[in-house]
Amino acid sequence: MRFEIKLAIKNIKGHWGRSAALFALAALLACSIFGGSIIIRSLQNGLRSYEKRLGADIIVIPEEAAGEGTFESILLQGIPGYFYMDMDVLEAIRGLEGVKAASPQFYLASASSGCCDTLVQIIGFDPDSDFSVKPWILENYGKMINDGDVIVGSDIRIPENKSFRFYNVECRAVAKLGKTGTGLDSAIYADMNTIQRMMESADKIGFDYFESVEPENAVSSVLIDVTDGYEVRDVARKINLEFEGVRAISSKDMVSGISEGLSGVSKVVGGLIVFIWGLSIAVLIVSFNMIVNERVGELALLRIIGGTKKMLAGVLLWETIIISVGGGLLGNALASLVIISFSDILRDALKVPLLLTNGWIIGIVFLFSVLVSTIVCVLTSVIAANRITSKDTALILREGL
Amino acid sequence: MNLSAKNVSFKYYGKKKKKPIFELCSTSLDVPEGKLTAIIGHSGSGKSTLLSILAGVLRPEKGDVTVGNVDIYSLSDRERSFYRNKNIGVIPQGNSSLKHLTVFENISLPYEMYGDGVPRENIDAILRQFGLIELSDEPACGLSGGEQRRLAIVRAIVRKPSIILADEPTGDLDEDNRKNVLSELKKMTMSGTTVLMVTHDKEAEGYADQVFKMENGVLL
Ligand SMILES: Nc1ncnc2c1ncn2[C@@H]1O[C@H](COP(=O)(O)OP(=O)(O)OP(=O)(O)O)[C@@H](O)[C@H]1O
Ligand SMILES: [Mg+2]
Repeated sequence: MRFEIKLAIKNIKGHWGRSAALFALAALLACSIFGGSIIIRSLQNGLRSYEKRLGADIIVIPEEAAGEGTFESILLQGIPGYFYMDMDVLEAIRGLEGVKAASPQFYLASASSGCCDTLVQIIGFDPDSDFSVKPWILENYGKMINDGDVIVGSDIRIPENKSFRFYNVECRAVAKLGKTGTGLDSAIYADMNTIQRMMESADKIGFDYFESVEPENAVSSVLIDVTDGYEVRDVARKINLEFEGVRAISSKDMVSGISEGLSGVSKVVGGLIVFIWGLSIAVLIVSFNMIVNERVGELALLRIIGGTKKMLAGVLLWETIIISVGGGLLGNALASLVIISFSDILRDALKVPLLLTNGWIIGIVFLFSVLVSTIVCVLTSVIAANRITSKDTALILREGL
Repeated sequence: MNLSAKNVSFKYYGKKKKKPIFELCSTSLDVPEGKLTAIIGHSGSGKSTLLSILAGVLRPEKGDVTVGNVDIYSLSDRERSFYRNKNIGVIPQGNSSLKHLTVFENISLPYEMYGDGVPRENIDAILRQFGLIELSDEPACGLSGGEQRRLAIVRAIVRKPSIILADEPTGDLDEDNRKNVLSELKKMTMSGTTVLMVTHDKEAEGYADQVFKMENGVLL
């Protein structure tokens, strides 16, 4: 091993207190950009998958559900919920100009009592008219599901016997959907027949979900695919004007509502990163200056026993590289752990979709942030070292150094 | 190998840069092989400064320093450093060691710097001679002032350099150690090493074959 590296390692070990402090700073530098960019990317990623999974141009729901935010909390936080409106709306919407296809969905929250296995959101769809869930099922299962089959979101654990019971109706889990980073990951999808049976059975055993509507005439939402050439917003506005008691929301508006919120989050994260960097760089500059001053005697000694100026700079440089690469790797490893284990909590806290970006992007950002923080550390240390090593007189050994 | 300085001068500037706070006036000096040479003088008169110039770590503003036939300041930094590593043993004034390294590691530094093998037995023998063998694996930060001094001496003489520049080698030392160091320097002089020492010590002066006096940057 080269002399400079060997001595650098001994110096780091010999001054472990100082080294640990610099190590922590390097870790902070790296993990702040790493963590920040992964979170921002994951939010963007979550938003994209959310829009894709919604799969419709317009969603029509009962007015109260929109007002109380039930629908959003089902979609974003996975809090099971339900709301119903009359089936008539569906036919009326189908007759509207600009509506290419309209398909109903049924939301049912399972109960935590004995008739149900777990508390989840159950989403029923109509296989004949559906255009938003089918593509996902075909992608993950390869064919359409039958009566009594369910497809589960990625966060739901399928039991060994593959069977679930909701309101005493037996269902078979046939496939699992990909992750979206939204509340839909903890939902279960079933076709209309299955869900009708659950609704009727729920009604029979005394769950009073349907207040004013008949179970067989109830729908929760209507998903609309708008004909090409029509403005989605115009169609939505028309529905809102013509129908009482319902609310038509364009999915673009839903997503852009969230993304406005996100840009606030991104600004906070960005501001935090800038703040951490500013502070860390200031601390680094001060500490490197102090350290180099404190070490003049050490450097002068190396010089006296035959060290070149390049060698002195090399020792200081290697110390910085080892500390900042080591600190960066550790900082990022910790940040990865935190992000991976707390991403669901973060998602629920921010009330936004959060889907971790894929592994190799994380890997690239990981290495990139270590590289950037190392460069910053090296630059600040070079400035400090240069002040000393460039001047002969500064390196004269004097009593007391 | 003879060591000589011809008309070297040097100035230290204070914070304000304008007026030099210390000036080493045009100084010439010959340190011949085989004669133990000493420089004495008041504190602040410029003895250590002259020694640094002779060691090749402080470039004089004017004048040359020659070791043997080599004008050391005409060499590049790399060449001069390498030359110093192989041929000049410097004992600096005061404490000088890497405090977090052990005594043995400190002594090994000049060898390891250019990838030379570390002669364990030689080092142990000389550590024993200077009463440091027990402390060989102790970190240098725990050494007493006198032990530090002896460490610096061992580090400088262990490679048997052709030139030794010693700045107050007997400072901090007790009677026995002083004698030990001075007789070792004398012995090395007689076996052909060029030795120059700066000292305040009357006894050390007694060992010298020629003595120069430094006064306010002027060598008398
Ligand atoms: N790096 C430096 N920068 C500025 N001034 C210095 C520097 N080194 C030494 N001096 C000044 O130069 C003068 C000569 O210093 P030097 O160390 O050569 O004296 P000295 O004769 O060795 O003294 P002592 O016997 O106390 O060791 C002193 O006044 C000192 O303050
Ligand atoms: Mg001195």
